[in-house]
Amino acid sequence: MKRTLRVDGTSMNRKNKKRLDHLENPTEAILESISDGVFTVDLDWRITSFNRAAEEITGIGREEALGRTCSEVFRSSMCEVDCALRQTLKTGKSIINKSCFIVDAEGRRIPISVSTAVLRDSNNRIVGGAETFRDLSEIEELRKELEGRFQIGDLVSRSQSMQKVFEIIPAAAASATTVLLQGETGTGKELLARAIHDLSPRKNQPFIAVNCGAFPDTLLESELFGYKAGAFTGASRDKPGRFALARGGTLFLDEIGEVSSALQVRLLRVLQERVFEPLGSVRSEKSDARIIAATNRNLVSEVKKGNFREDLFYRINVIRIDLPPLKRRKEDIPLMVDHFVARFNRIQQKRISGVAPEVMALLMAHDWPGNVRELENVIERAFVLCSEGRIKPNHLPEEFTARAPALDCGENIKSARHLVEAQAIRDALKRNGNNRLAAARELGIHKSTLFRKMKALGIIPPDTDGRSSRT
Amino acid sequence: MIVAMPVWNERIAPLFDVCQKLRLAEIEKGFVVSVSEMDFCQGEPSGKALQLEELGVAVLICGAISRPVQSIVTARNIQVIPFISGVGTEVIEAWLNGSLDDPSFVMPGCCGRRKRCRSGKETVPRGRGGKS
Repeated sequence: MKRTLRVDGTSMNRKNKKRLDHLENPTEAILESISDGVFTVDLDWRITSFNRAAEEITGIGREEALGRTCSEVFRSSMCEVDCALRQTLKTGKSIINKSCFIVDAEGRRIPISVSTAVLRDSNNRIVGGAETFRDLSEIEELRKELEGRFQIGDLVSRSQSMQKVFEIIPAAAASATTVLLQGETGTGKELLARAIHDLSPRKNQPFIAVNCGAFPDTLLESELFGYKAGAFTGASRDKPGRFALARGGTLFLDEIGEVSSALQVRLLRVLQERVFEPLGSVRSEKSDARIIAATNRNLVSEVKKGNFREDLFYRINVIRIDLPPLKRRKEDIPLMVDHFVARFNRIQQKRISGVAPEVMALLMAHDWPGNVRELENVIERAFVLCSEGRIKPNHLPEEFTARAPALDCGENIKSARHLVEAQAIRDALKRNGNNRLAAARELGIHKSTLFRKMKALGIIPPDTDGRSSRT
Repeated sequence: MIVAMPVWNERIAPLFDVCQKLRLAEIEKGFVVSVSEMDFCQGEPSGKALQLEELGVAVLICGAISRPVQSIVTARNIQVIPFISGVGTEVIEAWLNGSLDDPSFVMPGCCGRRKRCRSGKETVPRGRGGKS
């Protein structure tokens, strides 16, 4: 329990003490005074007691809760598949601080931690169970506030290039204008679009995403604009399109660079006139959805090649945000690894403590052609293979460990890390034409640190410095 | 018209956000003509909403549902009747009779919210004699 109860009243407020004065049962007095919610159930899962804090956290009065099935009162994310109390009654073992969320009568998700215990009568027979739960909303808010500097939505970064993106996001979110997101595949364009939506006045309206590259032209048209019954064979009923579904909210058009010329014309009309016609309809419908478009192509050069309409490009290129690839912001990798480890711990109910230093060195040395998505997949894969403790090199895909053969030979961590660091430095120098400043920037370290490491690792400085050869 | 209910142990599942089984009731002229049950999409709420739409669901009767998830489902033109509890067969019968507002079918703590639903646009439909 969070605070000690002293019946002389020094640790409870006057109101609670007054309430306690009328209580004859000291156990009841204790339950009424604590800030954790507590309820008990009988063997038919019906609630037999429900304390004051439980009333406050759930928003349900005890007169309504008593006698009802606990899952219909508590309605937590673990009731149906992973009930902690059910497990405790089955095994006889208590569960401590299991995280989940409940949904209150207003539809709010409240993060909580749950602990359970078995209730026995004087003959030591099990007569039910007790569940204690703590509202984590404030802790969650504080955590978000602390992380907020480096995080917007699910985007995590402390690199300079991403801080510039973070600075634009609030302004982009406040306006209703079209936004164009450019970046390599896996850089988090959809996450950024969601972050803009979640910070915008439209946050309570739908966010609808459509991958334009995933549909053939005719299907994409019906997907975007919808159709009326009878518009074509098999269209037995009206189907609203994504523009209609996103009404009042945000429509995210991913891979807009893949859209055909014919459909570009139709898109341009919707963006200019804010009206569209579902297939088979003779009437126009209004669209007030805010458009966020994204592409991994360079639309400027696509316009020059004649593959993308210039007028449509200017219509969507009102606010442009370029997302840098992960290899250009490797200093974010440790922060992102922490973020993904925390997230998968939460989702998979595991207690992985992080990654081993040699794993971090391998991750830093990788080129990440698949960007953030690839990193997320690597951590998710490691979670499947790693049951507890820290993620080790053998939990990583083969292509990571293949680069550092010494890791399998019982080398100590220090020398393994040196090997990987040397490899990463050589690769970075090669990629940057031996420009040491650019290589240091890419590796997320200061140039003097790079020089020091090169010297310590015995890397011979290249004869020509990329910087001097360029100038 | 197809009415969907997430179910668990024959009752309406306590929380739609994480439910795993879906019961579909096909209604014609105010009567249930067929009932089927299936696994429900796990993961993203948008996947759940998409599955409901693809199944042709017009009304979703469910237990607790978080606000963002509810707005994703209603964005697919599916009417949501939230915070309902009870045995699945009795709930569908009550919906057809127009008696789903009975306190015995309302989740604890949700009377205020259900009242707002009655007076708002999410009015509980009267199944029989209503649209089919």
